[in-house]
Amino acid sequence: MKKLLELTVNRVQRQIAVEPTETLLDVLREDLGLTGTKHGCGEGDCGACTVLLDGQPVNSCLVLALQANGREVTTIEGVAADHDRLHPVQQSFVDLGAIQCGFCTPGMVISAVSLLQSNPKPTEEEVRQALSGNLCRCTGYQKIVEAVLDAAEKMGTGKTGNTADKRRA
Amino acid sequence: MLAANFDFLEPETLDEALDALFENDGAIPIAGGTDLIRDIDLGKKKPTLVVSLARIGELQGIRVEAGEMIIGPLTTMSAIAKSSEVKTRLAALKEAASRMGTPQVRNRATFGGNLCNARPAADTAPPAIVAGGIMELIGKDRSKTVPSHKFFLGPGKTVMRSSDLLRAIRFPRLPPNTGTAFVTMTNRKSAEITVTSVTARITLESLDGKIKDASLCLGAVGPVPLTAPKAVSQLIGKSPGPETFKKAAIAAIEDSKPIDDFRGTSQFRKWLVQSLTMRALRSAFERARGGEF
Repeated sequence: MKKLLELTVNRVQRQIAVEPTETLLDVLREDLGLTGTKHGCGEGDCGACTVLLDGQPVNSCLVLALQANGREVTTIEGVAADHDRLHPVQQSFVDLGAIQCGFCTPGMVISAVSLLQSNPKPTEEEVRQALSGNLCRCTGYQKIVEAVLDAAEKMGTGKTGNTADKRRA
Repeated sequence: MLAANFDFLEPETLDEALDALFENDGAIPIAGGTDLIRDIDLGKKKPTLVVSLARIGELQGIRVEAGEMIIGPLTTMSAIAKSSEVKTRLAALKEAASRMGTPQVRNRATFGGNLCNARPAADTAPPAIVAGGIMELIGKDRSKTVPSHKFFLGPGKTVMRSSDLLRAIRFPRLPPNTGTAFVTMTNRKSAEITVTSVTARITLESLDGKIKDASLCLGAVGPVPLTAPKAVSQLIGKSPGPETFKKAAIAAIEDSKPIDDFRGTSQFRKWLVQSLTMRALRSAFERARGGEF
């Protein structure tokens, strides 16, 4: 029998009737149409379904939707401050070619954003640790790590503009 | 959508949760759910009612009362890894919680869940055992305490009944000149399950004295976390150092009962028991001498 789920997703309060067997990932993708969060392994290994739950990265495939009742969720659609601009981490991923097929990217970005919130100047090792729950089968990780370090540097100096545009100009 | 059919309840008090578990035969408690949700999806567990413990305040957090450190079973691995209390009172537990699973899993997985699931490779069980952790159990009609080394009965089996809950894990203050360490071998650094772990506790008579007391617990080399009496008998009353530690490490192999599986062969695990015991003893000894626990 469906139950009422009240939660905040990307700063918007939502009320949804959900089955107890639905995961948070199901609700985000199927009920709210937020398909940026991906369904990968379904067992907490790949990290493609990573979202922030009360500010902490979690595998949304391993959270029952009703466990998120009253809590705050941030998905890839909500990491940027406004719709017209990318988050600095997203921008660095674009600028440095850290995206190939793109399936792991939303989870990678969420984990990276969370890292930079708690540790604005991470070392390369700390970046790799923070991303160790996100698997990528294309890139070999090097460019992803570089992109996170690049974003950290730009967020630290306040230079978070679109560097690709600057290069074209 | 999980391949299952169950109802969901999230009570705010311990009494409500205990009632729900007692009155419903198919009820099962959920803490972080990182193991349970997968087990339900695979049909290994078939609950009719899932009782979430997340809103029960008294099951949360780490506190110190009358010298004892009391950890609520709903405390996450991340919270244990970050806790200054755990770091200064039981370093082995911090080490175990810091490396389990992935960052995402550590933000959900709980201490109580790791203990109550009773997997032979559960990383937080050996630190609880060497530190003499006491499990406080509560059911609708009883409450009791069980020493952590008597809590585990077999893979997935503990002394708890299906309607019982773990209320707290209490750690008496360790004696002065004590150090602990958790050392594990995994096939990768992250997102991996322990092939073999060794957790050690050493108490010295004085900072440069003999070994007054010791405890070892071997993980993933038996149906439950194993204490290592043969190895410990090589330590107590002896001078700490490489020679003593080596004798204990060789004896620890006899204390282990590993099996072959896809993570490692029995023989490999025996070699690991020896080398990890050396490392765990050395690290625990250094902490004991350095005034860390």
